[in-house]
This record gives sequence, structure tokens and C-alpha cells, in this order.
Amino acid sequence: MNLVVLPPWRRTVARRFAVTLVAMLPALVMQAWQLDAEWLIRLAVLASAALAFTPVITPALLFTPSPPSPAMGERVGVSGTFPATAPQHHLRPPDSTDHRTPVSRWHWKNSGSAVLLDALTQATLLAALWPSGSALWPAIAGLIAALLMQRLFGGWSSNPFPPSMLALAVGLMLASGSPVAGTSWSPSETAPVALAWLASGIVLVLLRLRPWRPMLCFALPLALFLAGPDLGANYWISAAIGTTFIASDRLHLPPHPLGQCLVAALAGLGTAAIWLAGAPAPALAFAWLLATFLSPWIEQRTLPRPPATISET
Amino acid sequence: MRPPALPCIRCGECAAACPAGLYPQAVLAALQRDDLHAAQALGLDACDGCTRCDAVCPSAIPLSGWFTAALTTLQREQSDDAFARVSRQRYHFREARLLREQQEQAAERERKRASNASADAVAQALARAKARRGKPDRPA
Repeated sequence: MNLVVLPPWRRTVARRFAVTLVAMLPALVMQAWQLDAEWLIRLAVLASAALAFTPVITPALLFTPSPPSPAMGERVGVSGTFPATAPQHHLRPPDSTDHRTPVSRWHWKNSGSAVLLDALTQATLLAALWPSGSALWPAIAGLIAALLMQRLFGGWSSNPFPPSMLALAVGLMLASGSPVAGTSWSPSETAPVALAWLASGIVLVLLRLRPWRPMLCFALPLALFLAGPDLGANYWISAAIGTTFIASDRLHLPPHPLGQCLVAALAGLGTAAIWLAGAPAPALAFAWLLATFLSPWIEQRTLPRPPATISET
Repeated sequence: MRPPALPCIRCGECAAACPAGLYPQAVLAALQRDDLHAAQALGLDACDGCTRCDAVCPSAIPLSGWFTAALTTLQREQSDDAFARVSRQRYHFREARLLREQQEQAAERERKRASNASADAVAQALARAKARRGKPDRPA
């Protein structure tokens, strides 16, 4: 039996997150160069807030590897009273007692880097989507709320909403009292930035870190909308970031490709509908929050059951 | 040494590697909810423990360990069910046997009562005979 060996950039969570961040870099540089240098300050502030706040909440809430259910261990009969057909070491997952060990430096080095990289990614996406010229404190508050919510839900896999989208929605709601500065970028300014974001996404697809189907399903409704004559170039960057980094985030998508496409298409239609209603800033966030809210329901209906027949190897 | 497991990032590497065509991340989520039957509905029984999902998981989750543990639990539940079924069958057999014995005993009692009744008839006949013998003998 030949075990599958992944390429180095796909082997660990930290490497995956690091490669995702590196893939963003050209788009970040392009956005700072083409649009405004203040964007870099916004990014620095939000990234600092994420990096400062994550260690505060992480040791208590996350730095314990997810243990298997204790009830499961009792039912399996780890004490050996039940004659198992499997070897003894298979009765329980090997790391099942790790949740009783204290947080170690090793955890900080390996798990901590993944947690910090994830927080940095969310902060970067939020900084890229936050309306230019608006006050920054609602974005910081929204980011902290989203990171805290992610930890309270139990981490990446248990968090129902994309943190960057949640942070954007919370931030925009907090900023609803203060005026949100409108931007009037020209297509010549935004097109290279949007293309750079799309290129980042394509790189991630080629590295097989992100799926291409949900990207396409999200982009198609937006492309139909953006083909309208009166729509400015201000939407392009949101559409590109939503396509490349939000629609392709498997954490909040069903495992089956059909479910992924349905959720992404729903988010794309929702975004286009909110744009048509005349609310450009919160469109992406609220559409994705709605789509990911429905994601578990779609997942239940798209997962194949019974499974496919076993293929002989 | 395997590193400690991180939470699942739902990357789908396990699903791509699974020769049984399962979605191990969905099965794992069901098992983490302690919902064995949902895991079974997602095809847990088809897992043959090849550990390919373990090898590719970037979060280092011991997926095959989870699945083997769950399959063992299911096996025990099934053996418990089989034991309960056999016990129930034995109970019904015993009930039927007790009823049959009760009926047989009742029939036996009835038969004895009938035989006792016939024994009384003999006694009456004997009494009559004795009474006849008690009369004075005829002259020779």
C-alpha cells in the first residue's frame, strides 16, 4: 500500500497558512501602490491588534488539542474489559490524553504559529476590505469580536462564520453612526489590484491549497452584475477578494464540491443583490454570513450516503 | 513521534486520499458530536483502517484511530444487541416451557382425579361384595 505524500507546503496547517499569506503579498503591494499608502497603516494597525489580542485569548481557550469525547473512550472500553478485534493502541486515538497535559513551549512553537498566522490572515483581509478613509476603531473592535467568537466556538473547525466577514459586518455596524467615506476609484486604478488578488487566488488553486469550483460559482453571479454599465470600479476589489480568499475557504464550506458550489453561488447572488440594493460596503460580509449560516444545512443534503464502493488498492 | 492534533481545517486532503470514497472530516465531526449513527450513515463501516487519512492530515488528527474506536464501539453495541436477542429468545422459550409444564401438571391432576374417582367405584364394589359376604351362608 502506497501512502500519499503531500508536497511540503501542504503538510502542516502552519505552512498552509503561511503560503496563503505569502500569496497575498503581491496583491497587498499592488493595493498600496495603486490606491493609497494609508492602506498600509490600516493593515499594520489591524495586524498588530490581531497579533496582540490572539495570545491573550488563545492559551486559555485553544492551546489544548481537541480531545476525543470522553464518553467515546468509556464506551470503547479502554481498560481492556471488552475484547477488541483491533490492536490495543487503536482503541483510542493516540493523542487522546493530550488535553490533560499543560501548555508547553512545543505547542507555542507549532500550534501557536498556525493560530497567529490565521489571525494575521483575517486581519489582512479585513484591512483590504475596510472602506478607505473610514475610522479604524470599528474595524479593530470587529476584528477582536470575531477572533474572540472564533475561540469561543472552539477554533477553526467549529466556528460557523468566516472571521474576516464577521469582523467586517460588526465593524460596519459599529461604524454606522459615523460617516463611511465613499471612494471613487477609476478602473485604471482598481483593475490591476483586482487582477493581483485574482492572481493570488489562482496561485493558491495551482498549489492545490484552494478549490476552484466555489470560486467560479461565486464569481459568476458577480460577473453578471459587474457587467452592468453604470457600476463603478469600487466593487472590483471586493469581488476579487471574495472570490479568491472567502469563497475558497474550505473551513466554512461543505466538504462535497456540490455543496461548496451551492454555498458560494448563494453568497454570490446575495452579494450581487445587496449591491443592487445600493449597499456596497456590507454586501460581501452579510452575504457570506448568510451563506455560511446555511452551510451546515446544505452540507447535510449534499454529502453522499451511502458511500461509494471500496476500490481495491 | 506524531505532533499533537490541531483542530480540523477541513482541507479535504483526507477525502482525496480515502480509497473508500468517504469524507473523513464529516465522519470525524459526527464522532466528535458522539453521534455514532450519523457517522455510520456517512459510511463509517466502509473504513478499513488503511491510515491514508492519517498520513495526509495537516492537522495530525489520528482519524483512523477515531474510526477504529468507533467501529469497535459499534461492534460491541451489535454484540450487545445479539446477546439481548438471544436472551429474549431464551426467556420466551422458558415462558413457553413453564406454560407447557403447567398445562401438563394440570392434565396430570385431572387424570389422577379421574383415577381417584374410578378408585371410589372399586371401593363401592368391594363394599358391596363385603356386605354380601356378611350375610349368613346358605346351608350346604
